[in-house]
Amino acid sequence: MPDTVFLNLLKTDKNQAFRHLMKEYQNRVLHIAFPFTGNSADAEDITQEVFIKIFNNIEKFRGMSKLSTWIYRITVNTCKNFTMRTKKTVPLNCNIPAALNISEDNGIRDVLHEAISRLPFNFKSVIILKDIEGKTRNEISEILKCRPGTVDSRLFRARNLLKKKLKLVFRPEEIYAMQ
Amino acid sequence: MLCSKIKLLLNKYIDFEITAPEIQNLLKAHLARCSSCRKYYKSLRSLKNILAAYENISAGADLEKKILDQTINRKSQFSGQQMLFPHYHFFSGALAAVALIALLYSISLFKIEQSPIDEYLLGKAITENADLFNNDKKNIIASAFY
Repeated sequence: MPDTVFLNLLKTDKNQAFRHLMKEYQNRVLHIAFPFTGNSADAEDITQEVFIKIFNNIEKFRGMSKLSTWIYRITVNTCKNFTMRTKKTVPLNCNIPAALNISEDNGIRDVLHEAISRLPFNFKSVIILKDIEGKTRNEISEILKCRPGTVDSRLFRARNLLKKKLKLVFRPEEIYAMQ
Repeated sequence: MLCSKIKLLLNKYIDFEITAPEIQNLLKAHLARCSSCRKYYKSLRSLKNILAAYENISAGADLEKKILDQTINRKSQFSGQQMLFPHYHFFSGALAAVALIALLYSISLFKIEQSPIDEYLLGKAITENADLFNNDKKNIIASAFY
């Protein structure tokens, strides 16, 4: 549904507009929250929190930015609050090999979770929005309210850090097998 | 161009965010002659492949219901309470009005009680100091009070 149609629906029937928005964005919000938290229960809690915030503030959306940008911004901020509450982020200079808890049974997702969860928040958010959600740099800069150049440099550093972490887990032949 | 700048551009290139053909050609030419950047690009491609294989989760069956219970349905529940007590707002407004009237009435009573005393004191002052009263009314009233 285009944003203008959504805004018209919002004026006539708030509940209907919210239901529509929830159906469209429920999984997208969850897909951002899940890599941030690393477990489905926390991701669902964050998703609920995000939609409660959206419901309580839906009238404030005037269409100045894209609806998706507005929702993603709320999601990232909620994830940030969650991270600050739980303090799960490990400092950048942590001992990476010892910190990663990788067993033979772990799938790629678990390995990635472990590696992504140990990134600092700013790096984590650009990796999730760019490489998992497929947002453009301009969209990410709007969501995070920073310059596109900042997104570039964060992404560059985040990818370098993530590569270092994953290099310790995957052998080159495993990586090439994924291509 | 420096390899550090090329590496930054390669990050954009791998995301298909470099559309200008001249920059694309510049990068290709650089990769053809720089083994370090070639290695970097390869590792970047591998990382993209790993992240592309990332499996996300699906929403639980009751997530939608949980959200609705805390948003739309919660508000409806509140509306339901209003339905049980439809005159609640009218009564609370009426109660406030009665309280305001009572307050104003008590203030007016207080003023009424004050006025006979004033009159008495003033009368007393007039009889006792009739001459002075004619000369200076303000001084007489003051003497009656203090």
